[in-house]
Amino acid sequence: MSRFVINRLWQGVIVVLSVVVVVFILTRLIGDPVRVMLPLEATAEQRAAFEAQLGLDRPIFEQFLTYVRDVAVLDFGESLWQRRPVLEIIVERAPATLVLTFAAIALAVTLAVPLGVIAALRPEGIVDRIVVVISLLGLSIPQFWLGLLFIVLFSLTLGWLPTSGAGGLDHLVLPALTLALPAMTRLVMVVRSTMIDELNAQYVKVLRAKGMLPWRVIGVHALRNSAVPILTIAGWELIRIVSGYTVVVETVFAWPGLGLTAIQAIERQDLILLQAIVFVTAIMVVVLNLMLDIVYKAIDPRIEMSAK
Amino acid sequence: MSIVESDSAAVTDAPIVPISDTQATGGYWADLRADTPGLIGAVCLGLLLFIAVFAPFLAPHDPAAQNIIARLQPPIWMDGGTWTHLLGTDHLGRDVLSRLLHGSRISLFVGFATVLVAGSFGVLMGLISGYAGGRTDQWITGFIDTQVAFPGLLLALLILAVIGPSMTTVIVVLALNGWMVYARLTRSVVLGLRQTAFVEAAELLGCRTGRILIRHLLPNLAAPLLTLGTLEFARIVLAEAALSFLGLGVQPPATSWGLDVAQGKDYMFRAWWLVTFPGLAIAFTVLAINLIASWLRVTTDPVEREKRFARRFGAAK
Repeated sequence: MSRFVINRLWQGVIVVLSVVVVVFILTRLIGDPVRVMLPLEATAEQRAAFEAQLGLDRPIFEQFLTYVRDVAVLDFGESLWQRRPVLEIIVERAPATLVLTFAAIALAVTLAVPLGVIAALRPEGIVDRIVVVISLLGLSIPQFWLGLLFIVLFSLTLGWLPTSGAGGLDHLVLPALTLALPAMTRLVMVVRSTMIDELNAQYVKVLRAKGMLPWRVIGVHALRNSAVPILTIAGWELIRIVSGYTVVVETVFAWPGLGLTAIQAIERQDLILLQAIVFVTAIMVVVLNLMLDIVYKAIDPRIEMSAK
Repeated sequence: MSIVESDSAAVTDAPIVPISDTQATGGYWADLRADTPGLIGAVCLGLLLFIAVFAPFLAPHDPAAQNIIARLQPPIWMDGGTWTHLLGTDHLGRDVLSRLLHGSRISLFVGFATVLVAGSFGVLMGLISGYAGGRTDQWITGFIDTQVAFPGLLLALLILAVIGPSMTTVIVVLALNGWMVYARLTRSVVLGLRQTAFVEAAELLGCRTGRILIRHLLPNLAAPLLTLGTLEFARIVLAEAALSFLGLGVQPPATSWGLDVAQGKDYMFRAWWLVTFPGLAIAFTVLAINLIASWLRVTTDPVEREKRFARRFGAAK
């Protein structure tokens, strides 16, 4: 177990390091930060002063070392847009994203498992067909558009929920639902197909023949055996949400999290803030991946010990 | 290999009449006709392709032509709708229908181009990785694993912010984000085929590596790659729409459905049609592709085909 964890930790470190390198190459070598961040009418002196302020006049290798040193202590510099340390902004905005993410994944799993199980009870039955059609629709509807439809329906027409912003629980409902729905539709299909396979297995027939109550056969025995694939996909969905889907949904609902901040940073040409958000997100993804791997390992000891 | 398997299944499942493989499946065309959702998807995609190719001839107006006097006109069936603008006009007086027709070009082109770029690179990497094995394989899989753990969309945002958004950048960014799935699939299939007799025979006959990869291994990859490519196509259409919606994709004056939704968002309360129609167009396109993908998945997978065949036989009895 400990070797497994160390192996995975090592992999995570490599990922984080490569994100640092990629971000550095992107912002310093491919792009010209001065051109992106300063207005067009800036004078040559202003450009030079700005370069000196960011340390861009130094040799590239020295820049890289300074960059790595700063990132290692989470010192991302000062945001051009808000004129305060980037870390402060991130600490302020991250909780909103985390709340939204976990609400969405919880919603997706709690909706998907019962729906998938019911659909699997009678493959190609009426309920199954409806579930399949709904999940196909859910896969095909663009998330941002779904969010806008929800706003029109629940906020403007029915007046049940607020249109945007953060606040009480009522503000969380629509963004979480929008974020959860595509994840849920993919999850339903997995629950359905693994449960269909499980329910056809010999042990289910044996349990039924023994006279065990159907809900116990399905809910306890078959569902437990499908737990690993279901959790694997749920984990992927969680990572997908963290690594980008929040950007779209937060923008639609003006939810004040990291995703919205990233878009605002782009609009205000604040590369310093944007690259810090990319970096923090990478760390979150790596940590989540690591946690998920350990969870799978705990559930199913058959999963290989080594990294590959 | 697959033919042998489905033949033996046909014998065990259907002892009454021996059914040949062609009778059991009837070829792809008959198979598509038998699968209503797949057929609907194929017809819809065909229609979309037609629209995309002939958009300039089909569109009643220039999609970028502004007419401030005729702004925010409702669709024909509402009060104030006119025959000149069947689906109404937007906040600049541009014809919504014309923009929809032209928008199909961007969506489909970005989809095709991205799948092509990401697919060729991914397949090449997978072929090398799976066939060469050893150190090369370790490096390539390590690279893939690392990139899969990247926060894809955010990195894409950073690239777009640095280089500046355009259709080409969108294609490059989406391809950079998506090639790993093809590489993984290719690698796993190649690993399975490497030890088979026909590859060994080709090696013994003195085929060059390139020939083995392209003539002997690639054809076996066609079916799974086609399914994966179709699924990815649907994903890319959605991703392009999302990027354009965020203002980081296709830039005006070009037209994109995602861009139109973003622009219509500010007028959502007064002019619902501005958001509704482009959104429906995206959903329609993605749904059509998804229907084809799910048909392809079942049709090209011998195991799934056997299951379906067995079910059909069970039902007939």
